[in-house]
Amino acid sequence: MKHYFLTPLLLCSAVSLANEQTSDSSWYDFLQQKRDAGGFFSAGIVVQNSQGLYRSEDFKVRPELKGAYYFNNGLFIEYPGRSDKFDNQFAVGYNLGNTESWEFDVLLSMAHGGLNYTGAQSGFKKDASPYWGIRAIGTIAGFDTMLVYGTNSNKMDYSNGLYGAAWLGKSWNINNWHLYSSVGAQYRNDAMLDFYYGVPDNHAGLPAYDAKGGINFIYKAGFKKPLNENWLVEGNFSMTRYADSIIDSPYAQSILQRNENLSDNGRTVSLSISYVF
Amino acid sequence: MKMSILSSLVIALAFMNHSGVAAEQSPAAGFTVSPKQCTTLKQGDICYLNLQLYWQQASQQNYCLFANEQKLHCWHSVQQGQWQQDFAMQQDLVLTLQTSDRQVLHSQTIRYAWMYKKNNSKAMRWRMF
Repeated sequence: MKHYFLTPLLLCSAVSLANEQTSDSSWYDFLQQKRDAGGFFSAGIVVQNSQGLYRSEDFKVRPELKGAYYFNNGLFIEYPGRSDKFDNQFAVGYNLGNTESWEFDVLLSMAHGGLNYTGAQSGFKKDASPYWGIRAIGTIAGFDTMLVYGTNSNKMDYSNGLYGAAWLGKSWNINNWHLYSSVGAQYRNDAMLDFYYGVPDNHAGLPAYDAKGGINFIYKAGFKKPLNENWLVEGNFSMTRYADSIIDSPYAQSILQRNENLSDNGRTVSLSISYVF
Repeated sequence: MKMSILSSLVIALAFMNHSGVAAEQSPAAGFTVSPKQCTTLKQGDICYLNLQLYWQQASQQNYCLFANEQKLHCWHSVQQGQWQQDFAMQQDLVLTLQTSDRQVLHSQTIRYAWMYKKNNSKAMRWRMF
């Protein structure tokens, strides 16, 4: 239950911090202050090794596109990609306003991906959960910070789904090697996790299960090395500890037992080279 | 066949070695700087480089090296010199080799380059748009 309040509390702290900094100026000025217009687009090749609950261990080479664009009026679209130190989900939104050190957005993004389950006796396919939410990006105690809080936007499958995320990161520039490290906590409430991982009473072959809300913890580290103005080499490592309520689900246990190449922790290592337009 | 490749390699190495000796015997005036560009991730970031410089003149004199009008090093009564130093830069760096009466003999600009443009966001990246 306390998780319900964690991210909103942090968001309020961010608003409060931002408010202190805007005390000399009106909220009107804050709302008028948008990000500069601009963006980027990059195309590259990624060599990636990953393993997790949703993906058996594999090694693949794949193309990767990343980009973002921020309009003068505050609207934006972004796809930061896996090597971003925070969330890597596609998002569209509106930049509400900015202070000197905080940026506030409303956005539509993804709280949980689609899930396909194929069991011994049954299977299902569940759609992804987009969310509408608010995002604050700024600095807390010298750490780059991103806070997100939202509710699932597609009420067709279930309602009252809540998603919150808090990220802290730090970057260093060592001889033009830009190193970063970050930790993230992604909270999904009972309604959301039970939709994906709960097992109904009448399910054949699996015990009934009510999935509680839970937190995925993520650690990321990586580097970015520009070769020149256009070519960028990036390396990234990320590890995910899934919420207990996900791992304890009979669906998760069932696929883990049947597939030795899956893991109850997520892990990705990638190396890429991309051309930034 | 193997002998033929081996012979070619030996001849090529002999030529390379010969040309190296020839360069030492007849020095020409020159000013070589490496690298010529320093690229950082975002405009405004500090760019680090290990600057290596070699110069050669026809006459023996006093010469000084300047970076953006700031004196870095002087050589006395020499015809050639080399210099190496770590640098941190946030704008173009103009290196000049000058005589003791401030006549500029050579000039080379080390370009400060970046991948993403500076903007009013700390977290987001801008490029061409």
